[in-house]
Amino acid sequence: MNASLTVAEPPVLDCEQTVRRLWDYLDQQLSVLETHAVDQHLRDCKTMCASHFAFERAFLGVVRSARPTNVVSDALRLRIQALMTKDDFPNRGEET
Amino acid sequence: MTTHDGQPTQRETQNHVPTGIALTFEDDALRCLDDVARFARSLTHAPDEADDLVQETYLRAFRSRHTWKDGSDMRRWLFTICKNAFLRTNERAKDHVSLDDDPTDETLAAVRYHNTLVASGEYRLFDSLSMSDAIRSALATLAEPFRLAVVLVDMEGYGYEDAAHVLGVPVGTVRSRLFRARRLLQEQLVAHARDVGFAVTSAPSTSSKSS
Repeated sequence: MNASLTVAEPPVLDCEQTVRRLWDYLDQQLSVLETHAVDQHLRDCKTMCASHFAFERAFLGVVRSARPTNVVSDALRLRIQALMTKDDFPNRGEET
Repeated sequence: MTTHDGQPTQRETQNHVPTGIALTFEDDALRCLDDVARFARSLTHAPDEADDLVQETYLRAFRSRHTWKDGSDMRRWLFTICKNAFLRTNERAKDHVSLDDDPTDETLAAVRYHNTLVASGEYRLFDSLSMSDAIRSALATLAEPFRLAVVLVDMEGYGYEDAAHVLGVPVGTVRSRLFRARRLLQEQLVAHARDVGFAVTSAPSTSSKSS
């Protein structure tokens, strides 16, 4: 077999095209190809792009770390467990 | 989310749930209790109200269990029920807010804001200060549409599309609300840093600014 495979090359992005993708990139919402294109620019960029991305990544990290914990009291857990194990609960078919 | 080249996003390719583990409806729902309770808290702010909302959510879920499809995203389903129960309880009109700006403008605004922090030497505040309490306080001041976007995407780890499903709004709306909310949060966190006497550092040396 002499099948030829074509591998798509990531587009070359300038600084503005890169920073426009900042949040989509950090939120992992870009395709693999676009992600590689941004990675490439961040490696090569001589100005502030990598700094912008590092700053916003740090920001997202502190927001994520502020996620509250221990929000379910023992009383609430027992209430919900009791509710979910009721065998004879009427099925009214309510919309959600 | 639709990408420029039609490929799955990075987050989507990483979020596949392992198959082969069969949970009962009850087990699957109870497994999500902490997440639902946290989401309820972000909706109501008041712990007692949040607990009632959690109970209402599970009650509705239990009543609608016949509509549940095995293998579906239980947490997303419960979040949607929770949000709808909250809206009904509070008789709030859905999508009343017309505060949705262009997501690209908001992204570029974030970059410009970072430039101002670099110029003032405050660009390292997120590496240097403990911000959890300040973030929770700042989050509580945001209008509900902005707050929920941050809670779902930044704290609960949803992609834009799942967050849009929970909130019942288009993906573009989630993006614009999320990006704006992040900028509003940053402004409040910088103000907090100044209040606690965060020491500025010298700006990094660069040849020019990108925006």
